[in-house]
Amino acid sequence: MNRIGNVLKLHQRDKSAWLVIPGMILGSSFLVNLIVGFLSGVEIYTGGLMSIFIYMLVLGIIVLPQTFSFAISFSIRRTDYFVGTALNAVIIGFFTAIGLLLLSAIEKATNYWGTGLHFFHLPYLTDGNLVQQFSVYFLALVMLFFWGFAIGSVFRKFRGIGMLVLTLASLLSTTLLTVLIISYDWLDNIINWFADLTAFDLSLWLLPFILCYAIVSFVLIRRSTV
Amino acid sequence: MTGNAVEVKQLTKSYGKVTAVNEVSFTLEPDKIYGLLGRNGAGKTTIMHMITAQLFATSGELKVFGEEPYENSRVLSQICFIKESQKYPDNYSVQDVLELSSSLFPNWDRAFANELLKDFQLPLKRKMKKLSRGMHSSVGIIVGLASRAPLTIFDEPYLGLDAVARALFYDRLIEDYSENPRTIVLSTHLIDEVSRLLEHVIVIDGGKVLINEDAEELRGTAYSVAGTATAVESFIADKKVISREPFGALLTAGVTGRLSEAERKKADALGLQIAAISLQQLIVQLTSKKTDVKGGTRS
Repeated sequence: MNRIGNVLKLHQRDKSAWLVIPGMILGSSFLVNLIVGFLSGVEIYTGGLMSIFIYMLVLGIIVLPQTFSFAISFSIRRTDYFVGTALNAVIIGFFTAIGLLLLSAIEKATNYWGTGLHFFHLPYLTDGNLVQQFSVYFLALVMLFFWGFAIGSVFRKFRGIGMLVLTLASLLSTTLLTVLIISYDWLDNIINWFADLTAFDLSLWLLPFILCYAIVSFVLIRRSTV
Repeated sequence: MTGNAVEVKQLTKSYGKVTAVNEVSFTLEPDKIYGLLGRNGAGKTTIMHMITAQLFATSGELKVFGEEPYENSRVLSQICFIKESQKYPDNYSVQDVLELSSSLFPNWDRAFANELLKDFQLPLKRKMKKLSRGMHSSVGIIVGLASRAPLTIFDEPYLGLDAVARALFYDRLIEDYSENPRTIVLSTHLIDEVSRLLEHVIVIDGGKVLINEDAEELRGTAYSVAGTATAVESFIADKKVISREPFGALLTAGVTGRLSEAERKKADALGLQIAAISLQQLIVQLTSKKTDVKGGTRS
């Protein structure tokens, strides 16, 4: 059946949200850095690459208010909507990760754009082999999308009250965790644990998060109304 | 086709203490045009949302083409629900909506959609959110008609549409319906405009079914009597009165029931004027709260 294909089509007709806007955000961030690098002549390590990851989170949040009620009104099943939307994000994440690898290779090959700008080829992130580098980008993009998607589905199902409870719960648990970490002196252990991990190891730790977010959004979307 | 298009039994939807739809039961037969009428907030849209599995019923039974509609692609693919307040993704153009509809609705007729596009003079490339209110409604109408879904529901489909465009909608609807019969539900406030299209009327009031009647039958079930107050009072004394409009010494009363020949003569003798009540007037009188009058016994 092409029911999931229809949901992919629904999203892919919206080229602005999935391709043009993220491209522009990343492109303009890169351009600004390139100009600064060119004018200043010093070597720059920048976090401008973060913008595309943040955008995935935002996209995850806005995709439900943008398309859910439209999809449901146009006779799409909730399950198909979820699977199609998730699949679309995975596909976009896949190609974005490939694109970032390519740009990273170009950056290295052009001797950092001739200006010493480290925008795509960053230390630590590009430590592993190609598959590992791909995994870092891909899983981070997908995790951020699903994180946003889960937030969006809480809002879809429980509206403002849900968001309020979620925010308070997040604040409370973060505070509690911080208190525990400090009072039991876990901080050094945690830093050491992280320090031993490569970017690839860390990216694998995103898998359970992706799974949790996906389950939460699926369950809530199945129960959401227009 | 065998079986009913829609079967609703004791359907109830409540939000906390508010009951929007209260034990509603009715059936929609295949290949008929239904009018789902009633005042704002009567529960029409809620009922339609439940039929299309967009809202969940609190209790009751609901079958669409013999099956539960929730997450049922066999049922959902046969439904097209066009509503006044339909939201579209911000970046969608008219073309995007139509292209997607052509893959979503199995019976989509591209040629018919293009014809309608010309009729309604819609700019294909324009973004949905930049359309005028009337154009926005036209897109819904095109989707609703060209989808040829076995169950097509229009909920106030023509907000902002001018009279010419509305007439166009009615014409296209009836033309296409005669060639491709299907179950159509029209929910609207413009009852007089659609009354010639309707084959069956369901009136919802306060979350309940008030009338569920063949449209022809319904048109013959009420009339108005006008004349001097005393003459009218004596004429309506034994009848079911749905409205009274006194005007000086004169009185116009709406009466339900069929007028017999003897009664017609009696009215003539009393110098009373008998007139037909339009569907709209009938429904307005039945659903406005103040006219809860029975048998002409109000003093």
